[in-house]
Order: sequence, then C-alpha cells, then structure tokens
Amino acid sequence: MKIQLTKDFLGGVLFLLIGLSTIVIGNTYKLGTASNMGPGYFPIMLGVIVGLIGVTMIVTALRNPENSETVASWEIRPLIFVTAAIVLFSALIETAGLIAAVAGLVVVGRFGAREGSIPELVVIVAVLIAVSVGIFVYGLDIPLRLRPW
Amino acid sequence: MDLLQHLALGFSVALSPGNLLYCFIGVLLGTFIGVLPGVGPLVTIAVLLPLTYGLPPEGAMIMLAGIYYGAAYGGSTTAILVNLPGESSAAVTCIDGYQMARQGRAGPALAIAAIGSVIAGCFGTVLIALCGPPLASVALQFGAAEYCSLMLMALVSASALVRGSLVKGMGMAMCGAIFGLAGTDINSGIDRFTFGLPGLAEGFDFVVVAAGLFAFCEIMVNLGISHNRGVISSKVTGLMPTRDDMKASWRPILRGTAVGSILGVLPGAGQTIASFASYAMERKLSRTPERFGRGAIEGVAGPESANNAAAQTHFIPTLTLGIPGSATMALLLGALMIQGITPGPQVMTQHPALFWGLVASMWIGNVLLVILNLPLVGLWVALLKVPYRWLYPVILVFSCIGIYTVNMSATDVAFAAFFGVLGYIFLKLDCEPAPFILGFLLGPMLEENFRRAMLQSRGSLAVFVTHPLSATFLAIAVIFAGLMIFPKIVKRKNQAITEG
Repeated sequence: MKIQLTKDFLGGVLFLLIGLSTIVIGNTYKLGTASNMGPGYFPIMLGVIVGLIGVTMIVTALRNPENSETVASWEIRPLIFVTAAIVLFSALIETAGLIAAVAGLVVVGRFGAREGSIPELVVIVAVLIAVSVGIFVYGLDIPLRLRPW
Repeated sequence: MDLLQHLALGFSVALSPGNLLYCFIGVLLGTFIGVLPGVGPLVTIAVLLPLTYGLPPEGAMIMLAGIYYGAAYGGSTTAILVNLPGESSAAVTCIDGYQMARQGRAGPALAIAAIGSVIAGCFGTVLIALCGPPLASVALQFGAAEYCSLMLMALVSASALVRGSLVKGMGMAMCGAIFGLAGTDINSGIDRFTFGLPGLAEGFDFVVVAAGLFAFCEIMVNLGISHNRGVISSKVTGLMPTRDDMKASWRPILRGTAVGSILGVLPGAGQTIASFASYAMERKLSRTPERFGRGAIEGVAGPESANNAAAQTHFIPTLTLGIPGSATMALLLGALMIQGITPGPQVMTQHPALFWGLVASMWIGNVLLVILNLPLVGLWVALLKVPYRWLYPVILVFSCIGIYTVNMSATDVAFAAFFGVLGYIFLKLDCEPAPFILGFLLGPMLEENFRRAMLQSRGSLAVFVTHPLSATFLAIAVIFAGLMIFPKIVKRKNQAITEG
C-alpha cells in the first residue's frame, strides 16, 4: 500500500510524536496514584490522549486518503526568513541594542516577500526605529539598550 | 437597587478622562484593524498585550475590549464597500451588503449595519450586567469537579466549532494543554518539560505563545499568498436609510440580536456562527427570499446585529466564570493575569470597579463607534490602499519589542519564533491554532482541579457524574461532540466558517 502524505496523515504523525515525547518525558517524573497524583500523572494522561488522537487520524487518513488533500505548497521562504529575522532580533536586542535589532528584524524579514524597493525599505526601517524608540524608550520609559556601546 | 449602584460605579470609572481615552483608543484601533484585511483583533491584542502592562487594570481591559468589539464593527465596512470581510464574522455581510453598494445604496447599508450593531451591542451589554452577578454567585460554589467538567466542556465545544474535525480540534487543545504544563509543578516543586532551560522555569509566557501562534504565524502565511485587492470605486452618498429600509430592518435587527446573544455565550466560533444563523433565518422568514443575495437590507441588518450581540455576550463566560470561549477571550484573560488578577467568579466581587467599569465602557464604546464610524467612512476606505508589505514590518517590530519587554528576556523572543513555526506547520496541516491557545491557558487549571477532585473522591472518576452540575457540563460536552458525528452538520458548520 502506498502511503499518501495527506494533511490528516501528517497531522496525525505530528500529534503522535508530541504525545509519545510527552509520555517519555513524563515518565521521568513521579507518577503517583489516581487519588494522589504525582507530577507525572496528568502529563502522561494528556500524552496518551494526544497520541491516541494521532493514531486515529493516521488510521482514518490511510483508509480514506481521498478525504484529505496533500499540502499544496509549504511556502518555505517566508517561514525561514521571518523566523530568522525574529531569532536575529532576539540575539541582537541585548548585545547590539534596539536600533540594530529593529533594523535587522525588518531587513531580514523583508526577504520573506520579494516586494518593494530598496529606498522604500530604508524609509520603513528609519520610521520604525524612530517610532519604537519614541514609544518604548521615551514614551513608556522602558530601559532598553539603544546602541552596542 | 444593587444593579443601579453597580452601574453608577461602572460609569464613574468608565467616564473618568483616562478610561474614556483608553476606550476611545480601543474602539478607534479596533475599527482600524477591522477594516484592514490581514490584521485581525487576535493579532492586534496579542501585539498590544505587553504594552498594557504599564496601564491600570481598568484602562487595559477597557482598551482591549474596545479593540475586540470595534473590530467586529469595522469588519462590516469593508464587507459592504469592497466585498472584503475585514473579519471572518463579516463574511455574511458581504453577500447583500456589497450588492446594495453596487446598486448605489452603500450609505443605507452602512447606516443599518451601524444601527443594528449599536442596538445589539447595547443589548448584549445589558445581558452581561444582568447575568453576570447571578452566574458568578453560582460559580462561587463550584468545586474542583465542576470546574474540571466546565473546562472540558469549553475545550470540547471550542474544538467542535473550529474549521475541520472535532478530533483535530481536540488534538490541538490537548497539545496546548501539554505546552501549558511546562514549568515548575506547583504541587511538588519539580521542573517539568523545561529541558534544563532556566528561561522555562516559569513556563512559557502567555504573550510568547499568543504572539508566536497568531502574530508571527499569520505574517508567514500572509507573505506566502499574493495580495490582489479589488479596486475601490464605490462612493458613499446619502447615509440615511429610507423609511422603508427602517421598516424592513427593525425586526431582523431584533431577531439577530436574540440569536447572537444566545450563540455568543457558547464557546467556539460564536460570532461567525451567529451571523450565519441570522442570515439563514432571515432568508427563511422572508416573504421574498429571492431578494437575498441581490441586496436585501434584511441580509445586512440581521447578521450585523447577531455578530455584535455575540461579540458582547462572549464576555459572559469569560468574565463570570474565568473560562474563555475563544482565542481572543483567552487573550483578554491573559491580560487580566498580566495585571495580577486571577480570572474567575471572584473578579466581580473583588474588583467591582474593573467589572462594572468594563461593562459601562461597552455602552460608551458602542455609542462612540457610531459617532466615529459613519463620518469617517471615507478615511477607512482610503486605508484599504495600504499594502501589506508596509504593515507586516510594523507587526513584527511591535511584537518583538513587546515580547521582550514583558520579562526583559531575549529567550522569550526566540521561544515566540518557535511557536510561530509550530503554528505555521499546524496551519499547513489544517489544524486551527485557536483551541491550542485555549488548551494552553486552561491546561494548568485543568490539572490543578483534576488533581484536587480526584484527591477528594479518593481516586474515583464517578465524582464527575454524581455532582449534578458537573454531570450537566459533561452532558453538554457529549452533545456537542455527538453533533459532530453527523456529516451534514459538519458540512454546514464548515460552510458557515469558511464562506459565511
């Protein structure tokens, strides 16, 4: 039998994985009894439920693959660049400061969609730096580092 | 008269200059984002949540609530003028509203939508004021078993009412609950699911999950699709509806209000379902059903009223029981928790100024919306020309700084990126993230109450059915789940949610 990687099938696999890892990790905590639950009891319970939901979805998807479509396109580009932009912000905010972090966030995020001109990007970056410094640093008085020095 | 005293207190809070300003900002911002396609109340509240940290609790809640019902209102403007629902709940309004606009009757359509919304919004708020206190006093007697079943009911019905199957929805809710458990276990003091990361000792912050799942994830999805917006040409002339319009509309407005008020209390996609139900009802009751779809004013009046009534009554379970009915309500509860207020029935007695101030602000907000909206229609239409490539950098920057400032933690921002990726994968697999955030919020409460209930019953599950209230909640949950077995109902539900 050829396995069709439908949305329901993959969703089932994802749920099964989350359920199983929850059970595995939950097993390292004390289980306790139903009347006196340890820290592991409830997580394992949830893990079992999520795992069973995953199995149900996998089985139904294998039986009736026509009920669910395959993912048409994953659109990897926005996923990678937006995520990279946010991670870059998280790396820069405490080391290089707010101005560099905002600039990095907007410029890298821009690669997620190939739209707009360079001058437009420069204007957006400048405006957003001014607005965020104005609101957060001067308006709300939040002690944010502005520059690397 | 207790109620009058409470309302007097509420108005004294809501009419203070500061809170009036927050209410004004809230409804203005709400209308603004309701008009902009691609930016919903969920994202806006998620982004602004960290900013409310410094506000007083009343001001924060009044503003966030204003964004929420303002958006329900703003969505109808674009639905009527350019056939684009700013919000999913306004999808039904497109059908007849846009037809009216094409026939040169955009003005009356907008006016009727506004009138219906105000009537429904005010009535919904009356219901909150009337039902709140008795419900809360009942809820105060709830034991652990009742709370458990109630939360289970909320999770089941919310999972049943999202797009897709109940099984998927429940899977999402339970996954959310698992992520909610990360952090120090309050009973034993040991760290669970922290992977040795010190940043996780307190668990994932609510703002982190909300911003990741909704703000970031939505940007990734939106960037993947090209944006072709219709050209806006319709001019609005002559706002006032005719005498005949009013005559045709007042009954649909009242019926829509009733339908919306009832459905809004239910957890899940209450608003969208309510506007759809109202539309279907008006078409059925009409003596000339063939006019529907060709610019029938009843098809605007009914759904718009239902939509706004539901938006208000959605607050009832959230404020009185501490159980959110939708992802947006979960965010509002999150805002309460940021303020250090534990949601639940005790909010009303312990923070009367907050509760009654919020209720009073809703009346003021609804009136502000009309005053604000009708004259500003031209401005809102101009806003539609703002391209998405200008919007999303703003959302990115505000979310990132917002997340960072909650705990001054750079790791929180990276965690949010993780939830963005997770949400993206889920969405691509047709798993809606809304039940996830409910599960995330309710998970720890569910565990605590479940543990306590089982401790009291000495490990017997029977406690959940022998307590009458608890059994009732479970029965409702079973009915909801049972309804989803019938393919016909599932089909209609999906129709209602995706197309309106």
